[in-house]
Amino acid sequence: MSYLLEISDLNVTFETRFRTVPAVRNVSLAVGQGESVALVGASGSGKTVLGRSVLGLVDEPGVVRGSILFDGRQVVGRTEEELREIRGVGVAMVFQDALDGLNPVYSVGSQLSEVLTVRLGHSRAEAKERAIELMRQVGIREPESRFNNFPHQFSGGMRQRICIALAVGMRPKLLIADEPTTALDVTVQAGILRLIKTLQRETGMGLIFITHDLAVAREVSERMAVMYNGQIVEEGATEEIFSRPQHPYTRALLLAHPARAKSWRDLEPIPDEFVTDEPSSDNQTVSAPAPTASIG
Amino acid sequence: MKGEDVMPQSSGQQRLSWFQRSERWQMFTASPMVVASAVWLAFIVLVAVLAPALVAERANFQNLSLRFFPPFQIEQGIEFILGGDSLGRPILLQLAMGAQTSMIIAFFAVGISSLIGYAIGLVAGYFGGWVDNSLLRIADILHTVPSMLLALVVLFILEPSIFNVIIVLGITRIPVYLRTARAQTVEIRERTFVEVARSMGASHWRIMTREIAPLVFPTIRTLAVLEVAMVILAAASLTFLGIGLQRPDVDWGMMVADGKTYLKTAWFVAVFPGVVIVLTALSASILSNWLRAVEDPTQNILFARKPKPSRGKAP
Repeated sequence: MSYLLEISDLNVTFETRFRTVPAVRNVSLAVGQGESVALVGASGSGKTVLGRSVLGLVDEPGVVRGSILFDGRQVVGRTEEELREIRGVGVAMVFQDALDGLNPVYSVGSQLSEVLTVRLGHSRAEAKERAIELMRQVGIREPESRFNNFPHQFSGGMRQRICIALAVGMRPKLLIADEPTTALDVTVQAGILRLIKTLQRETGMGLIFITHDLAVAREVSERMAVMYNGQIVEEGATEEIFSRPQHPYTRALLLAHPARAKSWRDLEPIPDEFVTDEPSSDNQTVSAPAPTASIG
Repeated sequence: MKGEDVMPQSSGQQRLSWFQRSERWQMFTASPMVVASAVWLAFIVLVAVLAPALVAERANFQNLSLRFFPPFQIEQGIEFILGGDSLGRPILLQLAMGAQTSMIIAFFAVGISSLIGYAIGLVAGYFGGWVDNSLLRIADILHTVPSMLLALVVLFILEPSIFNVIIVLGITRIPVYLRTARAQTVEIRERTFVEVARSMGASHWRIMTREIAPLVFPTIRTLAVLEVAMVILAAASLTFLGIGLQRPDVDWGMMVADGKTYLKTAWFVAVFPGVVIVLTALSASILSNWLRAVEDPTQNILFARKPKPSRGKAP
């Protein structure tokens, strides 16, 4: 089976005149058609940079090396102009900051339909119809009357829904969701996750779900990759990883997760050795202390 | 957007009443200052268009016996209500004549500099890097050369005329807009919706014109309006130096400059044109400020008319 997205030996470094900071190191990852993969890791582990590199959104002074094949075509090293053929219609992205994801000076409806007219060549009437349809699909009530509303008249959750509608509106083959629920509260979060799952099932697109929340990862993904310090330290079927984590970091992560604990005393903080605010620049694989408790 | 939902069947009367009920009209009439400003500007524009055809001859007719004729007297007819200037010309009609020149100079000079500065600032701020650097250095150079000196040199070489005054004033004021537009662009380009647009395949051109430019525009417009008075006075100083307008062309700045000499003996020669300049600049400023607030969807609620409290109850 040929993969929809094939990342091999990807390195992303941020190189300034004074120092070089590696953000992603020797990452290989493949996503199949219609498959959902969760990318899990602490903040600063390189998840977001990895996601952005798929769209060619890593800007100066970031340098991307390696290979990203999307649909058999190389993404790395393409010009901005060539990347536009992939962005949106091939790979779409939902960003973390839902509150600022829409331009404040245009109405929500016009932003949705603009994308459809410009990128898909719909006529105005068609685009409006489809935009309303999309709004309904992502669970906006009375989309006709809210079509002309401005972003500030929407709640955070609704704005994120619109952002998701923008992303899926072009029927991309792959959706990258970069912590789409982090800025939202838990009740809204559940709705957004369900929405993404449903949309994925309906449209058959691949999904890379970037999150630091293990419960969320378990809910949305079939496969899971754990990132630590710019590397993928463990990858496999989500349930497999939850029941039999191989890598010490994964084990530590799982032990620190509240869902597994009956009382707060059962929780294990991530050992200090794993806490890195800044990835160390040496290239060796993480050597890890064994967590003390076993996972039940 | 209550007012916009109901698009009535078109008959003139209905359309007018629909317009009067629309939110924007209500917001407009809610503030008397804004209405007054709009009326004043409309009046000035009207005068600017009509005056040269109607009163050109009488405005420039010199009657030395009416030199420094005091204002607020109508023995010499209504045209001398604001007095006579140093050559016995009626100030009222001179003001009317000057309206056209002043409006043309202000409009085009500000238009040229703001448009160019706005565009270059957007490009510089958006692309950053060496584009930004080189454009900013050019702006620096323009800024450090005293604009008066530049104007002097250019107008000394070229023929002094309205057109050249406009060009010179337009070019020397570009850096003001360039810097402002650039600073705003640099800030806005980092916001998520720009990122979203990029991730959906928007081109640089589209991001600049559709995503960023509309958010920079209100600032540029406000700045441009503030510059109107600036430009009118700058044109006056050029005239004062003898390289701006030449008689019989007249603008308000020139009238202020003329009257300056006689401030002690005949205050009205300088004061009336000055008042007109201030009123015009102020009106434009009030109007643009109002526009900015009304166009901003998060602010326009401030202008909505409060329901009148019923009598006998505390509000």
